[in-house]
Amino acid sequence: MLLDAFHALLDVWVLIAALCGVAIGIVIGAIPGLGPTLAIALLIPVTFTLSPIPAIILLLGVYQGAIFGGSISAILLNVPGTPSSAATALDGHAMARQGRAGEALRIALYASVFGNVFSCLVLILLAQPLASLALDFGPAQMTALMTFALAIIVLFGGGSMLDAALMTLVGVAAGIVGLDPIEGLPRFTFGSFAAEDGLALIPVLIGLFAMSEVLLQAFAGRQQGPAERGIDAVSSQTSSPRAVGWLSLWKMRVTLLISSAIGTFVGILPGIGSTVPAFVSYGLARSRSRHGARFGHGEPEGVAAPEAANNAVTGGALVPMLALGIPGDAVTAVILGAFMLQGLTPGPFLFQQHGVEVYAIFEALILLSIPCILLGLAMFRGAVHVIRIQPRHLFPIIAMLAIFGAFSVNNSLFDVAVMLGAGVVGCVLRRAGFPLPPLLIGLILGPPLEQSLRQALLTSSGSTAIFVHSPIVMGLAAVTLLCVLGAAYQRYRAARRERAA
Amino acid sequence: MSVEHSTSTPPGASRHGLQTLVCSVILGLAACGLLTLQAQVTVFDFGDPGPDARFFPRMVLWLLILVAGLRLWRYRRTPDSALGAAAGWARALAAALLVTAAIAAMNTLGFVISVAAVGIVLAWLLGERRLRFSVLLPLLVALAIAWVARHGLHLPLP
Amino acid sequence: MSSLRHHLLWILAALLLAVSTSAWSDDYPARPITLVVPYGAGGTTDISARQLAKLAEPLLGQPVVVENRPGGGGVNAMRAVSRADADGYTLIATTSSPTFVTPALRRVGYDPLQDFLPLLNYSGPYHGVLVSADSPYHSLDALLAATQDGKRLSYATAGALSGARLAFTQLARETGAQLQHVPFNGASGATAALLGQHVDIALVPAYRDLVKDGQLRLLAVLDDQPDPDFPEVPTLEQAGYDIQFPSIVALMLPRGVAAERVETLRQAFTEAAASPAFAKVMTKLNQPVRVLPGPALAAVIEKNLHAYQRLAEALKR
Repeated sequence: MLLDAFHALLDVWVLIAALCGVAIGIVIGAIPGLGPTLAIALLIPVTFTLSPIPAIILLLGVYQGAIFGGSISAILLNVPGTPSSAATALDGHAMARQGRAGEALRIALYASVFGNVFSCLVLILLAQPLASLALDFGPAQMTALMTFALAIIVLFGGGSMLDAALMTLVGVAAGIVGLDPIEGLPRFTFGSFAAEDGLALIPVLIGLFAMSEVLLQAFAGRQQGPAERGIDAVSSQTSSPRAVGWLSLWKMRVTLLISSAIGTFVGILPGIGSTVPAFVSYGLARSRSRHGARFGHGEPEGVAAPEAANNAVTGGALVPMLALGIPGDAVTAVILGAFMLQGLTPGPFLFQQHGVEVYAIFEALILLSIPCILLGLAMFRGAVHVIRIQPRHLFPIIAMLAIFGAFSVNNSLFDVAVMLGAGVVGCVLRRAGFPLPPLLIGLILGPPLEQSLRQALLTSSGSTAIFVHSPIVMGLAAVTLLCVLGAAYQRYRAARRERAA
Repeated sequence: MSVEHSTSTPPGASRHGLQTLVCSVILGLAACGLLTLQAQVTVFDFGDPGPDARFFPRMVLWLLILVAGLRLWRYRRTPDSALGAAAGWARALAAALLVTAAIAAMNTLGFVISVAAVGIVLAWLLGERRLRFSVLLPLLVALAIAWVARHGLHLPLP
Repeated sequence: MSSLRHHLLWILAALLLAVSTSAWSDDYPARPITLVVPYGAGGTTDISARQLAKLAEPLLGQPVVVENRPGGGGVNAMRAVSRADADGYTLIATTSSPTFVTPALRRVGYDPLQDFLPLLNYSGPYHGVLVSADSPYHSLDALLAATQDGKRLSYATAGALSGARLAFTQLARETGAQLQHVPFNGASGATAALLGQHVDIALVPAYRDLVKDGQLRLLAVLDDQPDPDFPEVPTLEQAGYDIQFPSIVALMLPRGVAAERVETLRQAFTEAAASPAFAKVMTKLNQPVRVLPGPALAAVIEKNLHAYQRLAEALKR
């Protein structure tokens, strides 16, 4: 079966589809606001003319490329191209400012590829059992899992826990605006129809990270902006030997494995997406690392962990989509449509009826790493020069792209206004020194957390026994408690060492 | 993302700086949210068990008040990050107002003109005075974005 | 749309009109027609609408441009189209929920009966009443009987304001059954919850393969006709309950379009929807082709809108 599938890949169209897909994906992902969902939806008509395997590979190439592409703008400009690369910006951009942009990009690329390959292997070996594991996660279990994720962000995200908690709550509160997830009635919309959709994630992301950067530049005025520093260092470092990347990658093999496992697992579960596992992996890597204090100031492991995790989500997200025909998020829902149009209806019969095609697609997913690395390395040569563009030329362009990106999500001007509001808030919070990632995570996890909590209580007729009787919930609660204790112990030890010194 | 307590500002002058301000605003907004909760969230009685639509917002807003208050109290003696130059805030405000104007005018003026205007004025604000970069570059970028959006992505730009 | 291009097209159309003598009576459509899809690109509604548009293009002699306006569960797009010019150049491919479910429950900013002219229904996925394969209930009656002596069963739907939820709320009220609604984000979430046995029942479309694989059991269909894939499974009405949730995917126009233009559109889109090429794509998407002319569609919408409005009134108390 695996060999037959491999033979099906020996086709020039497969190669062309893979190259085009990855290239389009990286470019689309690097532009703030444009994500894989839009790109894939637009490419579906193109795939009508292709045979099934190249068609699907084209779309999956876009998916993989876009998740990685977001980290290019995150590292170079501190403007994440997709939400999932917001975590990469923390250490990636810090490295770029130290003149290590080339190294950061290369680590991000290799970690992405590692995450991809890991999750594809899991997909090939364990698709069916994992799909049934995903089904065990009902509302109660999801509530526990999301609480765990929030705890990790607050405890290990870096900086003051109180600040992180405050920002998380601001994000959760912002997520309440819009329609109530259970009754479907408006909350805090003040009678406005446009507000009923709530504060959409992408406009808020663009505002918090891209627009606020523009406003901060305006604040600084004609002074030299941060992006201008370290230009000479960048140009001398871009051509550093490739071996550096591989060596540092070997040193962080455990982090890569853990992050990829987290990404794959969260990808299998519906509705969480790739941003949360990226931040959770970042937090865990930071708590595990011996030099956790260096995180946020240009630690390569802080780039590798989120990149491995968010790319591993792609393989994970395909598990329930293929095995059950149940897509976990917007991207896989669109890919599901593409599969059906090619006559490969995902669901229980897919593996029986189209085994060769499915395994060919799996193998192609792994082999997509090759164009990913080649195209990635080629693009870096051009991309690192972006850092040299004068801020007074760069930031007007970023502002224009931000307006366009926010508009493109729902074709609505309300989203552009949301983007601007988030930009102003982001600008003030950044000047005050509050961390923005917890706010983003709060906004992402708030609505599904409320929905899961209330769903769980609806199914149990209001009784909290549904949480107590689930071993998964109790296990997750125990792990969360351990993390709290661990964080408290770390604090205590750090405080004692400080006193001793 | 670490909290950088600005040390360059003289102590005393920054006792009540930006962080205190931000926390107080959050506190105030959360309190407003709690007060308008009843009016802003209608609850239908479908006879469902468990918490209603007001439960989660109420919980989050109370937690927000609690944490913001705690934050204010805990760091009441640590030096705060300074407010920063008034001229800087004026420029940032001008940039924000500029985008607001562009959003308001987009339906009448169209995407290209309003977005190019944002780019041109921002470039000027950031100190670019050469015509080639401050006018031509934003205009070209706006045209390029509009062209790709219409023909590549089929987006109905205003 | 750039106004410059519109002007150019108008001038071009006027020139053509002046040159050709035969075109006097037949100048519609003279420019591209916009077909609004109220959901994101790449979904089932979007793909089928794009296919229909492509097939209608040669019949109309003008491009049909699909424009996605997602958000608000389709309500935003409906509101925008209700305010568009009634010149026959703007159409919407809409579904049940923004047409007669959401407007019955809350303020949406348009009147589905007064502001729209139903042109043609062309699809509509069948919604089933599903239970897990190891559930003890083999018929709807058995399931309802079980809830009448104190047992509470939970049912999952695709969202808070879904028509399936209203149909089942009505069923519970009429039979005194203890049915608890649990909304999910989309039909896939509801199906997953049923497969994981976190709920007892799910009211979802796209169940065919899971039922044929023996993972789920189909007890009834919420539509007004049985699902051709499972002709032996009754509709709610056939099972003896005067309740239905007809699923529609329909083309609608803003009210006020001139009658001959409506007729041109109706002919072209009816022919496209009945074509084998359209049927082929819909089979691949696992979606039925259900052609229903405008007046019949209007009757379905009006009947259900009123029924749901009465139900909403009763619930609000």
